[in-house]
Amino acid sequence: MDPLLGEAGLKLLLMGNEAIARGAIEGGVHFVSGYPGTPSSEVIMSLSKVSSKLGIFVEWFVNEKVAFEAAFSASSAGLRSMVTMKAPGINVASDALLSAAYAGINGGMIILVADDPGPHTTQTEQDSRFYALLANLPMIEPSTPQEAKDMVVWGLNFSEEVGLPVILRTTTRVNHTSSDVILGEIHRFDRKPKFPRDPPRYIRASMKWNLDRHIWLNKRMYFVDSIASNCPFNILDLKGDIGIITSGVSYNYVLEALGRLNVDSCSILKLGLTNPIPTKVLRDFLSHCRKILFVEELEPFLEDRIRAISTTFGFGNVFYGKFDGLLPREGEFNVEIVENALSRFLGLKHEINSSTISSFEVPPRSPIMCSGCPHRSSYYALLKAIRDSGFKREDIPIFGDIGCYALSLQKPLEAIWTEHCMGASISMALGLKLSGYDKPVIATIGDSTFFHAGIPALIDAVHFDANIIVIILDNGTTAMTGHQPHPGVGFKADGSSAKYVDIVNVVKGIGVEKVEVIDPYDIPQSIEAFKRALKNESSVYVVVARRECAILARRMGKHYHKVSVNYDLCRKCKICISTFACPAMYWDPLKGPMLLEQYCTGCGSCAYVCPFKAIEVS
Amino acid sequence: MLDEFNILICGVGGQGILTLSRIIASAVVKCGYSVRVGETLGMSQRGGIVQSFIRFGCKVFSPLIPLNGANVILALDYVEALRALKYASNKSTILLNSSFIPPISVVLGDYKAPSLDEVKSSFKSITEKVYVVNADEIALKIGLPVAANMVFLGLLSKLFPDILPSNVLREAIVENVPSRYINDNLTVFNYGLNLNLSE
Repeated sequence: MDPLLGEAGLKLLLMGNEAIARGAIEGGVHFVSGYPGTPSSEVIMSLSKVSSKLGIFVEWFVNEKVAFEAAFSASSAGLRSMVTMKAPGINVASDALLSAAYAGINGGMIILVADDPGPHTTQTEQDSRFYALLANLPMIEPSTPQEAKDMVVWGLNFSEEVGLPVILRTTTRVNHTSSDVILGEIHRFDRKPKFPRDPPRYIRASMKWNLDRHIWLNKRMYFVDSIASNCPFNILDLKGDIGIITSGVSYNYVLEALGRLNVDSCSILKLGLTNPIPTKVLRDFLSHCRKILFVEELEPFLEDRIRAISTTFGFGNVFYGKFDGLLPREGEFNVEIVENALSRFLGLKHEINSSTISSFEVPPRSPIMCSGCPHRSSYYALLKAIRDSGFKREDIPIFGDIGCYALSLQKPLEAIWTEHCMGASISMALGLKLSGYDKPVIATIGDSTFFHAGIPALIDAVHFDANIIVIILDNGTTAMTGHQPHPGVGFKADGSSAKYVDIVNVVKGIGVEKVEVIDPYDIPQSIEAFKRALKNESSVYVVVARRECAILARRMGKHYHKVSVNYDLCRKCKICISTFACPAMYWDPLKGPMLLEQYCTGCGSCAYVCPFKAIEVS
Repeated sequence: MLDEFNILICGVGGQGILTLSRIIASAVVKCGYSVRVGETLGMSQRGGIVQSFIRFGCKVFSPLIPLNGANVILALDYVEALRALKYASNKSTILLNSSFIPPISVVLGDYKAPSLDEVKSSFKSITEKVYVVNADEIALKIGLPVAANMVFLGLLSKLFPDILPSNVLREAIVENVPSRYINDNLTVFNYGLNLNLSE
């Protein structure tokens, strides 16, 4: 049986995101939406396996803004909802977020935003906690998978009680940590959606109403503060007059570091509710402790505000944390970082440094495009077309976007010049062209990213009749985050069939007149298409490079061709490695190119790359 | 009850590291321990580094193993083991797979990879207990080339029978492996359980 459906009282190993999914089930959620993004994706991926059994709507949407608005509408109509996203996703959804705070909700709503201190897989180390201040909404932060699950249940009830969406802010080390979790009761609420007709709440066109709702929201948050000290996830442990204030995953590091230092006298305030900061609990702590250290990852979010509160009420505490450099604002914490900060804070002479350093240099192992990845073939053909058309590489900017194809930044292709944010490849190419750049400019964007944020920019490119090249790398999935579906594939999150939105029709519908569809595995055809695009002297030129993701093809049992090396023809020039470097090809210093059968998908692209026809396809 | 036991598994995406760590972690939950598994996920499918930290016992809070804090370092790729060197101490047991998947930086000739002997001696200078296992060959010989991870699981149970009892691990294999692979995995696991270790 699926662990998400286990009986109450069972103790199971769950990943943080599975625990969040279970929490949503226990809390009686009706509607779950999101856009894939590490480290948040497993919540919907695991929920979608049981959604039909439980009668919960669980779906991937085209982007975080649409996902947010859909969940907000469900909660306005009285259902319980949850929307999931990685940190940059809340930037995309933020327009809707701020208005949602003015409207409030009727059914409980959880906004899961997964931050990524480290960073492990995110473009910035954004501290999304500031959105709780910006939107003026309650926020909870779990320390462990167990707490994450329990917080979803509590948060759905609390959200409904106070009439406001609740932000559940996690970090990678909670989302992706697995732990023993004790399951709770599953609650179901039989509710029919009914959207309330209440113009002052839902129409932001009247400035008087907006002012009234702003007053309403602030009053709600005073009410939240008045009951905030009841939040079971705030842990107040009063001991000596030296204290630590912490939240989220850092709480674990504090407990472990104090144990390792054999210190048992510190008072600890661990905040589960971090907006509003519960006034009563905080005052108890500030009046008890003289000297206080803040242990929180990224920005001094709690520190800034608690320093101000302490000053306002004249507690006279002495604070340590980010401003004195005891703890960094960048990167993620670990036990050592916290242990060193604590020992300096407590005046202990104790510093941990790793004594074991390898005497050998460990070769770097960057993530690369998979063997048989169609993106490798696309970029190879594009770079060849640029050279064959007489351009210098440094004169033709290739704007990149977010997805696996950004790995073309690695040697030997080193293709993309930028990877900025979702959809920016097309807008940045457009901006450069409209600035008066007189050589071709190229945008490369994946299928899911095109749907997410590429379409508006392409509309402007058509509207301004800008002569840019847009290459849509269509591998039929959202590959980077674990192969979630999108509108350009014919199925939904649970695998059931859905209407297929063809990218070519979208592009033509926008008004692009020059559209070509190529198969990246046909490298000569691809090169010719890219050459035509580079010769094009007016208006937008779109090339859709269409071929399924190599991982999916392998899972479906596809093997395209039999590929082999003919060593009689091989001259050991190493061009197959130095220009293409598919990981299914290994270079043996004595034998030359070695095909690794277990990785080769048989795409045959390497056969074109070899100038001596020593790689044979049959 | 154990205070703390830390297992670090490292290697490359595709070697079954996450499955292995899930089996171990769910087994120790069955044994009544509190457990934390910290993982590097994300781009692991794309030939990247994978490290999984399994921590259990009654004094475990953080999902990350402290420096010099690993009881076991299990490397499915011996070069990757070097990245975990800082977690080793004189109390650690080191299990090295004899194989290595060359990263692109080595294939392109920009970097040289250390040899198995060099890796072994790096660990030998820290701890006595360094073992090399031809896990890929063993798994291939049994006819299950991707089950090298199960060779190591059997070995772990052999080395730490009180902490990781074989019957509980077998249960965890059954629960965490797709049904059509269960018998094969158990076969390789049993082989690992009876393997004679040489240093």
